[in-house]
Amino acid sequence: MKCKQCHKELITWLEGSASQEKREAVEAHLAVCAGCREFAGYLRETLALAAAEVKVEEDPWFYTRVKARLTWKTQTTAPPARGKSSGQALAGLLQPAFFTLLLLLGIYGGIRLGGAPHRQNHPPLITEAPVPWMDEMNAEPLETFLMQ
Amino acid sequence: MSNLRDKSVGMHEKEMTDRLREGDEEAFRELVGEYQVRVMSLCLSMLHLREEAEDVAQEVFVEVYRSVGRFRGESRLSTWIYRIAVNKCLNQIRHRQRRKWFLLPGQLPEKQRQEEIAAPAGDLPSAEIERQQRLQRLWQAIDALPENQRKAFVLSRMEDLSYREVADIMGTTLPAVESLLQRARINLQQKLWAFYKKERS
Repeated sequence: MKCKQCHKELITWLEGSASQEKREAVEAHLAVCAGCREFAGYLRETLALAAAEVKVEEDPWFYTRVKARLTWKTQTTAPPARGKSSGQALAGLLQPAFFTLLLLLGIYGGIRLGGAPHRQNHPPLITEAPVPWMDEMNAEPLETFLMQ
Repeated sequence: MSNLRDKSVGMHEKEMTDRLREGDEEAFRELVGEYQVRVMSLCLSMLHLREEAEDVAQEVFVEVYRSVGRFRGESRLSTWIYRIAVNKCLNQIRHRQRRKWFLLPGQLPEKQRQEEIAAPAGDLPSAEIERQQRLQRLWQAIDALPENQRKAFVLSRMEDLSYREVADIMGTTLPAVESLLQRARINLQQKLWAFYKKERS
């Protein structure tokens, strides 16, 4: 077993969830690899720290706090309709109304911009008639060309 | 033997559920007493901040009290309670992430905690500082896991839960949980290896 492979199995091995085959392979590798042994020690200590950190003692006042929270929630969720305060209901209406208005203004603005008339004082880009020699149809009508 | 034990646990849970549905306050007190430590431990494992975990743990029991009428008994009572706890924790994590956008960096609770650890605390011995830094890195590594891997990893470390029960809580199959756990462990190991190399250098 190589170090990289051993690393992948270390946490499973430390938690005692590795299969017998993997356990033996990891242990055989750790017996000969000091680097992996050290890393395994690091992992073991870190996981043990986490386990100790989440250990909780029974709190005799916890039930009292839960009961107080339950009572408070029961008292504060009395109607108006749908359990919301009037302020929250108003905010719930205003927000979509605001975005709808914004959307309508955007659409209106786009229509106005798209239908804006050309300005009269802007000279057209092409001011001269096409150069005759470029205008082949007028320079030599098709009938003349075909008769030749 | 385990069948007998399961049967007696099942009867006890059924009796408690019936009493809770009738609004028996004493039953609720017993329930809180029985599950308080487990729920608080789960919340702490997921959230890492004691005040937040306490807050969410209380919410879990409030939810249990209010929703017991909807509990159909298809799963065990403990599975149902753990499921509520996991969902409440995940909601809190999402709320925390949304709130990040509206708080200054210094106001984030986890940032404050990191600064408390990183600051040269005159009274704390260096071993304690190192311990807290190492814990912080582990929490960061767990927090970086995808949601399902995180759930599976945290639940698998609860002493009273088998992998089958973890699968029931997550609403998935046993092979799926084993696969999630394997990936979670590999991801964690990779993150911790990076921290380990940094520490060594």
